[in-house]
Amino acid sequence: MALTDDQIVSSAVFAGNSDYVLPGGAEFTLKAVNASFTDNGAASDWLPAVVLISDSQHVIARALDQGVKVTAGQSAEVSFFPGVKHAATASTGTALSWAFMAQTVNPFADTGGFEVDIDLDTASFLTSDAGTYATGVSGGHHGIQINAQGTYLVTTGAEAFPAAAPAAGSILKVAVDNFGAVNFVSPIEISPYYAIGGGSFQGNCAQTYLIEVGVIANPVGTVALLQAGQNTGGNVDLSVGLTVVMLGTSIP
Amino acid sequence: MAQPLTVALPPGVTLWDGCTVRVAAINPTTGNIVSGVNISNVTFDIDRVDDGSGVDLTSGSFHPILIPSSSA
Repeated sequence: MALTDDQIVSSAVFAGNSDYVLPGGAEFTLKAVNASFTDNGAASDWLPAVVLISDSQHVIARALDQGVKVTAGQSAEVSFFPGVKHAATASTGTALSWAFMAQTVNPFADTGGFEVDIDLDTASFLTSDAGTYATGVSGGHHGIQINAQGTYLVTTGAEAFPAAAPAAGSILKVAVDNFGAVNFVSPIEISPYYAIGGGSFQGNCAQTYLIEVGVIANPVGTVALLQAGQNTGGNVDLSVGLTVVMLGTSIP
Repeated sequence: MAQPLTVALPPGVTLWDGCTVRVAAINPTTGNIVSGVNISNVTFDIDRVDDGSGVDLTSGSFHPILIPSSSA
């Protein structure tokens, strides 16, 4: 038997609900519904809905979606049809927890090119998560103490201004370090100095390193330090920063 | 303009005489009808399962939309 497609309409305005009762002899499959919902003083938010009720007054189905909620005072025109899928709400993500420390050392003497631990300024300590980070001391130098197991990204940055023209081929170094922890020491970033005009020179370098905290070499409570070195043959005005960011609580 | 929204409708549900299609504003917590919301301009699109002859779909304020025959 061929199906025939029909439309049924009501322009009347109903308070609360609009009911269509199938008349005698009628039988059909409902394919789509459209309706206007006008808020006229609703006391709460509401869900636009189509409720299918049998002739014995039992609910066959309710077509509504908790994700399609209309705020009290707002109105809506709503279409109901099979197959509607709403995109998932975009996640705002979880904020990463981090800590930062810095220091200025002026004068920072020639280290012979070897890197040495820098005692970071505890007053510069900043963090988004005091439960995970604190200032700590390792080998007599202050750094960022990590108090939770996880995988962390550690970044260092250094900037240096020689007091005089640096010796030819001299360098600035920076690295991540932890006193006594073998697998905590990052590769060393090395930068030459360059002229910035007016007879002045500058060196810049940075290092990023991934560490795991909660392993034997780097137990919870380990302290991230920053190392720097220079061999200009004189003093430099050194500024450094150390940032630790937790990437996750698991250890790969 | 009222915000346009879409909601999924269960597919393939056949209704017969005496059944009710209710359009309503529902409280998301209690499931009760929310007073203070007016429903209007309700339109259904249907596939008739009855043979369509001699059955008037008019019920209350609802009535079929009459489409003029192209052969008229």
